[in-house]
Amino acid sequence: MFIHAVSQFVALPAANPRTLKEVLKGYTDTPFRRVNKFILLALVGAHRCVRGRTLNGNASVYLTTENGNLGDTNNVLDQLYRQHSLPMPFSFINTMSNTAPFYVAQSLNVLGRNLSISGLGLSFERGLELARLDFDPGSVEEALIGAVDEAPPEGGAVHLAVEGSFWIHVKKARDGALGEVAEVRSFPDREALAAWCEEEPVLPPGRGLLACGAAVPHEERTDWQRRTGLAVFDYGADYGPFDTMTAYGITKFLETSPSTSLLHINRNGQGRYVALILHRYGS
Amino acid sequence: MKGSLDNNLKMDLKRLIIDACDLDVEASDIDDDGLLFGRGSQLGLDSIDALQISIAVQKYGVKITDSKQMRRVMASINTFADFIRPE
Amino acid sequence: MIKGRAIACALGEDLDAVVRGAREMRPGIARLPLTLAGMDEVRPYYLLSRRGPESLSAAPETFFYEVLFDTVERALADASLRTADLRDLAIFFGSTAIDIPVYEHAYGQTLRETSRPASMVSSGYGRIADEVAGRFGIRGPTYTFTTACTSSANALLYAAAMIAAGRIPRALVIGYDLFSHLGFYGFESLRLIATDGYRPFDRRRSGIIMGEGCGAVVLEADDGGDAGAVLCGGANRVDAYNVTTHALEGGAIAQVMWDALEDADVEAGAVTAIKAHGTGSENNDRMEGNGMVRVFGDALPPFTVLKPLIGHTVGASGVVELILFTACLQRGFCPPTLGFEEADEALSLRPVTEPKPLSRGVFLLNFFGFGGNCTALVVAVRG
Repeated sequence: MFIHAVSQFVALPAANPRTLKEVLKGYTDTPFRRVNKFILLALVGAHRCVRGRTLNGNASVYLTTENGNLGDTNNVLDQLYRQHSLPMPFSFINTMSNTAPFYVAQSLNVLGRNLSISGLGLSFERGLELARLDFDPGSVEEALIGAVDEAPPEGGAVHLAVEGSFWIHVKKARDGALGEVAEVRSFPDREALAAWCEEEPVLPPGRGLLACGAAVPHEERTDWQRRTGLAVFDYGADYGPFDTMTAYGITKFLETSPSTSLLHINRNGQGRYVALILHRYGS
Repeated sequence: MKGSLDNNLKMDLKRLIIDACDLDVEASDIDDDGLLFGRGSQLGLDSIDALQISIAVQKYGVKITDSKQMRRVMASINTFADFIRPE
Repeated sequence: MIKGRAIACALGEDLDAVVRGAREMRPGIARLPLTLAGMDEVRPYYLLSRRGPESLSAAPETFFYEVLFDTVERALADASLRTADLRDLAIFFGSTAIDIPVYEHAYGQTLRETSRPASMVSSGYGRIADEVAGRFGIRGPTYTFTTACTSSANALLYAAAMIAAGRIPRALVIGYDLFSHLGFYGFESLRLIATDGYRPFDRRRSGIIMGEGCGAVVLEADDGGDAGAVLCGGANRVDAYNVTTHALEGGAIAQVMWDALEDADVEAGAVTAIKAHGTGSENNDRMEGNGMVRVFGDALPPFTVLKPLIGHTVGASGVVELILFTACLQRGFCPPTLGFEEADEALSLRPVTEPKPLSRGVFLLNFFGFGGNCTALVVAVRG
């Protein structure tokens, strides 16, 4: 699965949907209405990644998200429980997070698969894994894979400094690619991942970078570094933790790194692991 | 006063429609007599817009439940204003 | 192939009782008031058979996980997996509402107690699958699909593809949606809920009746034997026509059926019967009817709609309807479209209306949802 383009969009959680609409106008002339913040985040990221190119009409859209739509779900609950009104129809429809990949597909005229995928703490990894499953037999030859999450509304238990939308444009064809998703592998626990690292050097020591996802504790990072002998690519300090952090790190690697490889290790609260290997080609 | 003669009410309705349907137009751009729904009408609204408006308009104490009635009532700003305030 | 399965729906939880209910065409439909929105009206709803009168307001989190864990436990027992196989299971979970039934309750409660709007959010779309894993000691990967009414159909599609590709030996696939105020009042705000009986494809159709459902299946590679039900393939695509409705001419609907048949390597002429999506809305009848005619022309196989038996279980419908449909076939009949009486002249399509003797063949299962989502699955039943 070869990567042909990458986009990053980081926003302050307070960003007004109107502001996002203005940003979106910089990438596409298509007018959008009855869309909420989650959908607009997805659209800004996807259109920023595509930048006016025409995609194959059968291209697919895989949107990955930890929490899906948050703002409109709160609006609907407010309409119901506080205002004692029926919800506004479009607020209700837009609580379904797959409306975001729908609008991405509609505005880019890509009519292949259209999915909203999650995996606790590992959503972007799961999306990459399922997209690769579709690419291998040739069911899908071109796709946009994105990670989109709103920050929780103010006053909630969790406070995040930023929210974002990060996308990669992938094709089965290598011509003109800037990189590659070479491996996506799931492990039931830390020991299984460690065994895989021992079995064969995942990347030759000194010939790539190691990054760890948000939930990997510090002492464990040091251990992975020792085991792999790879230099560290650290993106965690840039904004502090947020839900689409893995996709932020991956797209940052693809946008800023010189020609090299990246082993990305992430885990979730239940101790499931996913390892990614990406190659960044020289320009 | 009949709703269609009340400019303030009509302005409020235009703002309500712009807000409920997330339209990128100014209230002053909406013609009082022009059709609101369907392809080629001034706003090009559809059946979900009608539902959206029918819920937003509940603040005027009116309920529109029948979809045929909904389209008739919301044909234009003038018909809509007269429905909300018949006299 | 389906190695184990379990269901909870309005017809019951014991599979034999559910199949008997389908044969005898006796659904249980509750009538729920719309009081929360200040409306003095009731709407029909197919609640889980185990619901008591108070259960819609009491401790939804407890109820939510009780139903889920119980259904999964029965499916795992039905599959009689060895401990090591259980540990390696991958989980594919599909739902429209995810944990909304749980946290909307907390939202309402906080509002009542503090009279301030709470800021309540999902505990993570992926959490429920991991809760199941934690409960049963499953350590395989977990995948959650939220594509509205095709959610668990897509979970099935990917589970089967991953097994066929040899990436995993077996998978637990779950479709789950319980009553939520958000969904119930949301469908009402769209004026989609039937006021007068559930009659898909009938000219007197009046809309959708929602239902609760939990279905769990254990899938593994086809043993090539001459018994059982096998998920042979399928497809997903998007109809970009509109976020709420598919295009009436049924172009994308036809394309997803063609794609699914090609994926399963089955000719249209070899399809024994179709389980239509059939939500009961006029739009669904037209677009799905047109789509089926595009694919099958004059040779449309018998088709049926299961929703009048158990309600539209939205995101759960993929797994729940797969279980109900295959279980009926394996007991010798294609379940009928309850409530259908008079054909719509504009469509002139007649679904199966009486239990139809049928126990084996190749079947097409359609699922469509908001966001233009279209999924079709091909299932072989070998008796």
